[in-house]
Amino acid sequence: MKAPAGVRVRATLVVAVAVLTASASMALLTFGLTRTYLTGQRDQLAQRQAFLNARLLEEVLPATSTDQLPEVLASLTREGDSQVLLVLDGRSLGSSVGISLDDLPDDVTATVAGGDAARRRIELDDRPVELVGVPLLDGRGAYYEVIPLTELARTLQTMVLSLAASAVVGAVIGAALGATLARRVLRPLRVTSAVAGRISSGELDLRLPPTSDPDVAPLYESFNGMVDALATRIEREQRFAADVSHELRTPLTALVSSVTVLERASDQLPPRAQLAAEILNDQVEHLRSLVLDLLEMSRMESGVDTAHLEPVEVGPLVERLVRSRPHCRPKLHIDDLPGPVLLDPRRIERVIANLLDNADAYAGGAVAVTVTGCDQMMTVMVDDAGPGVAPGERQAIFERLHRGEAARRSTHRGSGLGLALACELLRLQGGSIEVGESPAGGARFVVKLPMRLASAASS
Amino acid sequence: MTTVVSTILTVEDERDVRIGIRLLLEDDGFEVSEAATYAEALDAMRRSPVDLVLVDVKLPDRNGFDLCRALRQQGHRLPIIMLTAQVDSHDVVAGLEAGADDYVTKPFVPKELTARIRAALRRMERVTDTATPPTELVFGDLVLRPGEGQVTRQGVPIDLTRIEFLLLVELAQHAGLLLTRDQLLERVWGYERMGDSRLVDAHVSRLRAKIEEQPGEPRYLLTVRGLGYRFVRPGPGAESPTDAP
Repeated sequence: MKAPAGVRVRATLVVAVAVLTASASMALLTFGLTRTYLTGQRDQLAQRQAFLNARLLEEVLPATSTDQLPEVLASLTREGDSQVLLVLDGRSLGSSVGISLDDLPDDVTATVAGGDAARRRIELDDRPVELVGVPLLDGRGAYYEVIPLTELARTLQTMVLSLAASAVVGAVIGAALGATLARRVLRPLRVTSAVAGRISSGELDLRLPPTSDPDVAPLYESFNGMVDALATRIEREQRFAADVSHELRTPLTALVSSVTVLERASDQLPPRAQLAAEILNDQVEHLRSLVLDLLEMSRMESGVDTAHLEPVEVGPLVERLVRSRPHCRPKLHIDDLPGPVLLDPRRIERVIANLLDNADAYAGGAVAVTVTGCDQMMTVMVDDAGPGVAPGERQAIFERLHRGEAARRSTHRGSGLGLALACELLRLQGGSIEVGESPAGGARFVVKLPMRLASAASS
Repeated sequence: MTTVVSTILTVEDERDVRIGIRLLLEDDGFEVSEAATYAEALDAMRRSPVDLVLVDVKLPDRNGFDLCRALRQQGHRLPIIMLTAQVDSHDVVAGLEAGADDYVTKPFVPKELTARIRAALRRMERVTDTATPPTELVFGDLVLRPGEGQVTRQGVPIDLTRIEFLLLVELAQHAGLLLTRDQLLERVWGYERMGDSRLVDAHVSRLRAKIEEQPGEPRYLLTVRGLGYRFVRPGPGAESPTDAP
């Protein structure tokens, strides 16, 4: 789905369209008025000129011989490139070649022949011209003047262009204005969003600054009020989590130690009690891992758990974790990273330990552990040769208490939170985890973390 | 090698937890004495010698940090291990600052608890080990006598706990060299894979408070940012603080 346009884009568009509409209609009006005025002016001029010339001809014609006619015609005052046509006793005489009575519309020639003057705008050789016809010498002849309108048309065209250009420029200025206005109006929102981002990343003491703007003040006040309420709640939850944590840990500690003692002495117990001790031991261990994971999860969720970043040599750390499991001997492939990476060592240890635990529980142990780094990313891969994870389950196994196919078949009982914890711990550090197929036939867990080098951070 | 039974004092207010720990440690061959409160713990320390103290943070009268501080003030140099509720709470750092050598999170894995206790007891033996090679290490006005377990500054003895002493000797024997936190955890604490780098940091800061004239501007025990620590022999110029460039 396409995201709807933001307020800024919409404001910009609205102002731009408004300015464009206003300036375009102004331009149209201006153009219409100017054209009417210019055309009228031109028509009147042409008509007056034609009448003056016709009067002059009426005076001179009786005393003029046929030979002198072209000369007389040439001496007439004419507008620009206009052409004249004299019809006398059925004979036509033009000022230039190519114009004849046949080119003129019949109704005009008929009107003039009937003794009335006529004016008409026509197309001659595909060019707009103004035609004025005046009867001469009581119907014995007629005088026509053909005035080209090309120049007027050109003037009008130039005008159209400049008006359109100014409309477009207006629209662009309008858009810029709209954008600027929208940006200024949206400034408090930007400030709020920046502060909200920092608060949610842990700066719970941060509040919006006081403002004198009466329109913005209510927003800031209610935002700050909300953050206050939230901070109080988080604090209460933290206290509660700490209390619950202590209350749970104490009985568990007593249980774990006593059960261990019982288990160690199980050969002195009757067989039925031995079995009971074994069950007790298993279940206490299960309870212990469940409670620890639940507590960690809840601490992480309440935001109590903050990252302690320090430079970590990832290679040796992974190697140490793998070597600390005497029963599994995966192939280690560790690239030299450019240097120590800024990480929370306890969290990354937890993530990798959980993945190794997972491989132990469901796939008979990890068969390969790979650490690589390139660009800004560091990758840790844990491969196993177990049954793998079906494509349909590859998202779900990172959900809490999800018991996948492998978990249902296995006799192992983990907390069901290990992978969810790993996922959450990575998310808190800007990383990610996914599962795919391993070349070894089982599952491949791929952990990706942004590689911030310690040396770069300290300089 | 003679097997000496070590005595461990367990300070824990919850009866069941206390007894559980006692049974567990007795199983592992330790002798265990118990105390339920701060006052009882100090009493027990006066009555008979112990080799190691296991202290819960929460006690009914005073807290475990106070007990740590009190024991250190009385000159006890023995290992103290704190029992804390959370790995990343302030408890860990506060306990280490109060003078604990190490911490164990509740509910612990029994094997891990005994492993840490054994490591701590082994360290004690190393301090009094007369086979330690160099007899005297001199760094400016700081003199270390590893064989005697003694450190003096300008002739005045400095009171260090066993682990502080071991840490100082380890750093001093490698003067000028960088030692990473992992290396220190392995060599001083005896931990190969269960260490927490905060142990090293907290002990270094405690050590600085005792051996440096100005712990904020250390002359001997320098931090190599992002890597670890280095012990240096202060140069002649460093003797007088006014001799700055």
